[in-house]
Amino acid sequence: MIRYSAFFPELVLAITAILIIGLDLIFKKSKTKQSFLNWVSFSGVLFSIAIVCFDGNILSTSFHQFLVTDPLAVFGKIIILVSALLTLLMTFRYFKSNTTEHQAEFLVIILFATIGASALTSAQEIITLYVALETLTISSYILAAYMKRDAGSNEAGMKYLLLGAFSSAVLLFGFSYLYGATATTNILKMNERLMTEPLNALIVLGIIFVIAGLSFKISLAPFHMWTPDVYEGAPTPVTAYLSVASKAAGFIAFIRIFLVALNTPALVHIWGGLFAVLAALSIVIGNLSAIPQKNIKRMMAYSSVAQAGYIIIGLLVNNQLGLTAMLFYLFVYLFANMGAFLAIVIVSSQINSEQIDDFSGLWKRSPLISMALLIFMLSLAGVPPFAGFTGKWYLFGAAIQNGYLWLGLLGMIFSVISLYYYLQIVRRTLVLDSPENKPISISVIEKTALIICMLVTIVLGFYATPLMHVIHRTVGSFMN
Amino acid sequence: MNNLESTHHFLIANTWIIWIVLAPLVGALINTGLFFSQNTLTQSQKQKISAIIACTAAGMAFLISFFLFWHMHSQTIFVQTLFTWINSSVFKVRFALNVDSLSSIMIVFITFVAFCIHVYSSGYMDHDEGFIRYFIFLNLFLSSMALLILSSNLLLMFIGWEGVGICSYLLISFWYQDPKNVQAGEKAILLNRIGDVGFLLGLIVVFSTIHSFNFIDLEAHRHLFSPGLLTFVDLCFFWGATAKSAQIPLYVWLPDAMAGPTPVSALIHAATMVTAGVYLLVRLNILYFLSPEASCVIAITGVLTAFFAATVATVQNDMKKILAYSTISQLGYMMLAVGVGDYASGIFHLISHGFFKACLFLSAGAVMHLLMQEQDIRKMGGLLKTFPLTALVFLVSGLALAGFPPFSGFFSKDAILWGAFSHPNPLIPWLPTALYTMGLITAFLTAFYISRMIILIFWGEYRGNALNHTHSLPWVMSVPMVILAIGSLIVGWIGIPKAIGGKDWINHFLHSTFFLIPRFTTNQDHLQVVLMLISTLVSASGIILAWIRYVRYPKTRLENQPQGFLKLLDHKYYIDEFYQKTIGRCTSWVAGWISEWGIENQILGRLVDNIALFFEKLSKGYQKIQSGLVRNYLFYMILGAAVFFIVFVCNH
Amino acid sequence: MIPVQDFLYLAGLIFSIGVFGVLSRRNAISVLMGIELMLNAVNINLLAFAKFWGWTTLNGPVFVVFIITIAAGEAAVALAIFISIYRKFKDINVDEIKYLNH
Repeated sequence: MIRYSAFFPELVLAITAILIIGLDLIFKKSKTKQSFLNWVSFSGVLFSIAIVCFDGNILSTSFHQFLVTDPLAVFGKIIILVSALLTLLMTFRYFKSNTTEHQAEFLVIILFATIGASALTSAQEIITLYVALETLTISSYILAAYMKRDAGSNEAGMKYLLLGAFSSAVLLFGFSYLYGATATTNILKMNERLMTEPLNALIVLGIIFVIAGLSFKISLAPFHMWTPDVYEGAPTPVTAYLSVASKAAGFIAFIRIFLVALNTPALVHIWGGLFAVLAALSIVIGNLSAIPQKNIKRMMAYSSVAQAGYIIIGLLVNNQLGLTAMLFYLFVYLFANMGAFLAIVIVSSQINSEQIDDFSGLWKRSPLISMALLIFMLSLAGVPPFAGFTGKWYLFGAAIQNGYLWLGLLGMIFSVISLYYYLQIVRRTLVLDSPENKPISISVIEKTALIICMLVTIVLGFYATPLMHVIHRTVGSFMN
Repeated sequence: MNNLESTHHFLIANTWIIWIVLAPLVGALINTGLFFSQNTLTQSQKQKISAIIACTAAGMAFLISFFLFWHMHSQTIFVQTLFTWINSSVFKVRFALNVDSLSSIMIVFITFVAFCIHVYSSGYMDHDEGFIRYFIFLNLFLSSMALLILSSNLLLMFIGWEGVGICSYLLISFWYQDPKNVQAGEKAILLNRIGDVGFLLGLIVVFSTIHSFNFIDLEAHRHLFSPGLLTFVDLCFFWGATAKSAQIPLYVWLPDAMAGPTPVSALIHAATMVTAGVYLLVRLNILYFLSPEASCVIAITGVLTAFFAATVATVQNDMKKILAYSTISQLGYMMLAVGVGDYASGIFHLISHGFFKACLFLSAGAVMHLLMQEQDIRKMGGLLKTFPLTALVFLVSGLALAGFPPFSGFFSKDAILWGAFSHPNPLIPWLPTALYTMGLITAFLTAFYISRMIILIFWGEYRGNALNHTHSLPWVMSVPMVILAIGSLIVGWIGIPKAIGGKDWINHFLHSTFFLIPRFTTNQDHLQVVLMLISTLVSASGIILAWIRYVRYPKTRLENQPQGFLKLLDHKYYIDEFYQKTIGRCTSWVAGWISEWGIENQILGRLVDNIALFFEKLSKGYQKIQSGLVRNYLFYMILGAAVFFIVFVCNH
Repeated sequence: MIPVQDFLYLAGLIFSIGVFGVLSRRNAISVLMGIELMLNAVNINLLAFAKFWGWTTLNGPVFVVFIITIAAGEAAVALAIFISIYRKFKDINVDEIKYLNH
């Protein structure tokens, strides 16, 4: 008997998406219809969040254990759904200044991408993992290329597609070798087989291909080259979505594959070192490249490369502390990065520019947004007392506890350097002056979202006990 | 006091500690609301309200601190644990505040000076359009500083440490319309971040050794550190302290930090924040006591900083620059005290310096206020008759700085000199004598430059053209100045040494904090008295030399271009230029293969500029790899995977 | 009976040809064809391994079906984007389209 409960959140999203397509066809084009559809998509995601929250305590499986909803999946789903919610909010604002005749489809594709990301977190089979991942990425290709009159968006879509399809092929090639070595595609069974199997070339090649393919999805250097171009060219809400939801899903996939399937002492020896190198490269390249950027989205792209480097540190130490640090940082990163993008969308859609220089004197035009940017940037840079500091502290602490002293130090030094480019934004918004004084308008719901993001970023810096409680339970159920 | 009553006080004291941190924070929040509120109040009404709120907040913090201090007995420690801040399987950090004799005397001193300066600011900043913003930052600063002082563990202290840094940045570039001020602020925060790397490094090593950040655990588990590791940790924290407390080689930000409003210079860049480095080292006293090597480095750095900064101060003409170098020099004295192991004297000088330096800055601010923001002492003179009260206050605090008895600076500086002289050094036997001699020469220079400054401002004839008789000093400015001047006179009396019949109260009081360190005693009272006489003579001769030089032959001394050694001093030993040349050369050599890019991008001042430029060039070079070509991207991805594979094959 | 290694060599060869095509071709559609070759190499691998394990595990063949389906979807999206690019730039040469970053 098929129990659908593990698939409910995704099912709700799918139904919402189909509903929107139907309603879009039935009703005539008008402003009211558009805002109505907006609210349908919004409440669909909210409903899905509610299901995850209330139903998440039960360990449930569906499709013969192809999908499993365990605490880790619930944690991932919450991050992904909340970021989808904020992305929708940005979309509403974005389409006020960038018009296209196909707004409803945009919402639908965001929902489809979210289905993929959400299913990815509960994937217990490599096949499910692949299908979910492709649902997410193929939807993302369309989203990135969505503004078809805009050259940048077209280019972003094409680059993302070619590079993404290539990396998927590499990933699959790795999977095929792992399947050959273990005769299974189930993640748990794969681990059992690998425990007894002696190390051979097939497994090693498989691991290297899998790392190369998956690192692309979370943009770890040197597989990050697409990130700045796609982030800059894609519509801003999509950039935000890619930088948080898509990445969070990628990290959960990493956890499933490396901390479960490939978690045997001999193999940890291989991928632990490789990830240390990847993390170091991402931190160095991401932070250094962000410095001279003039476009705020491009700067955030490099910043997200560096952040991925920090987060992966939690994976490579391969213990409870590391995983705790990783999940905590993901949660913190969700609110800081999404909040920053929300602020960027609100401002840039009204000043019609994405250049950092044009953010000058923002504090006169909107004190709330400039305050929010200050908090998010300082949190991303890891300045206490904001949550980013606590998160980085956990990550670097975990690295140093497990013999990666050099990596922890590197992370700290580059956090200091990163302050330079994060401060550039703060400097422009808070300190510099601009001739323009027209206030930036901001709707009530956007204000609420910004304030919530700010509060979470501040409060988690001081008082993270309830969240840590949840994370401990998640980690405890996962690693014994 | 009976037992019940003491328990009662204990409970009250415990629950009130957090309000020292919260009161200013609440003040800042209310003022932020006021800042953003759009109601019918006029600007001047708003200003009045915000000043009252800010001063009340600071005053409340002071009253609570004073209450705690009053109930402090030799062995009392008040601890307030609010909640568990970080709670993971491996480590637990509590948000806990801790008042022992050291932090109680520090907090009462800091909140008192801060209260005075809050009141003074409400007069000084009048008519400034950023009035409310100013008080928000000032209150935030006080809150962070209180957190820094009261925290019971290193991690929480780091939050305060960063908080004061950010407030300092915001206040240095307070008048952001001038890009120079913004530059100065960024220089300060970036140099401080360089120091933070040291602090964080120390934190991590401490944690990986004893698995805790608490000061109490640190004392209890000190034997877990091997001697080499201990020296390393000590030097890491000292590295952090050199940035915050402006020691060689990271002091260059402090003179530039004078770009902020003068009361800010008084509070943050003279009396409180810059002493945080000294406080940190004194907090960790046991770690430094156990490592003579690290202590030696600190003592030598301290005395060199004191000496060099004092020589620079003798030729400067900008009033605030002189005081800035003087602050660096006095901080060097405090470091010297820490280095020789005389922690109580370090704190003693920290407090007395806080009083007289704040007072000097406030009176300098008053002079500037009356002379339309004139800062060049060559354009002053003869102001004694015009501003008698300011002159008197300036004189009292100046004499305290010069170390003339019975002003406070005399006792505290002498305590340090005596400590430097009498503590034997296990590594270098002749070091105490050398330190003492250098300290004495610095004392002479100090007396000289402060007398020079006072003489040039108040004696002789007026040489400027900004004298405006219509101004008068409002009481909100003069009263804090007078109070601090009284403080500069009497605060030193809490540490009159036993050798001349005093009680040395501060040493006794602080002993409960330094209980792990064996009490240092000598029976050379007569020698101490002789040394005190010598320092009095040195101080007097510095004053007399300045008198001869600037009262008897005033004109020529001012108009001559500095020659030879004096020119070197005038250019502050070319340290800024040195940093620019060496680091600049290195970076341009390393990054030379990249085309000339971004030379015009002078966002940051000198030193930091070059470091930033280096990274900017590096990243610009990297941009060539990021070509925008899909096939190149694919190639690098494959190259990455191939390199991994080759590395793996080579390893196995 | 053909040994499993031969299938793997074939798949490896096809995969390499695909990678070479991706790297050497300028036309976006040719690049896409290279990627399709890589995917087919994966399919050969999966089936070869399923055969090697004596068809005791059918996950491999199932996986192949999914890969073929998704590759078709991917190609559809890719062609749509290429058409849009062609309309905009009158060209689908991947080396010419680099307006971002400058």
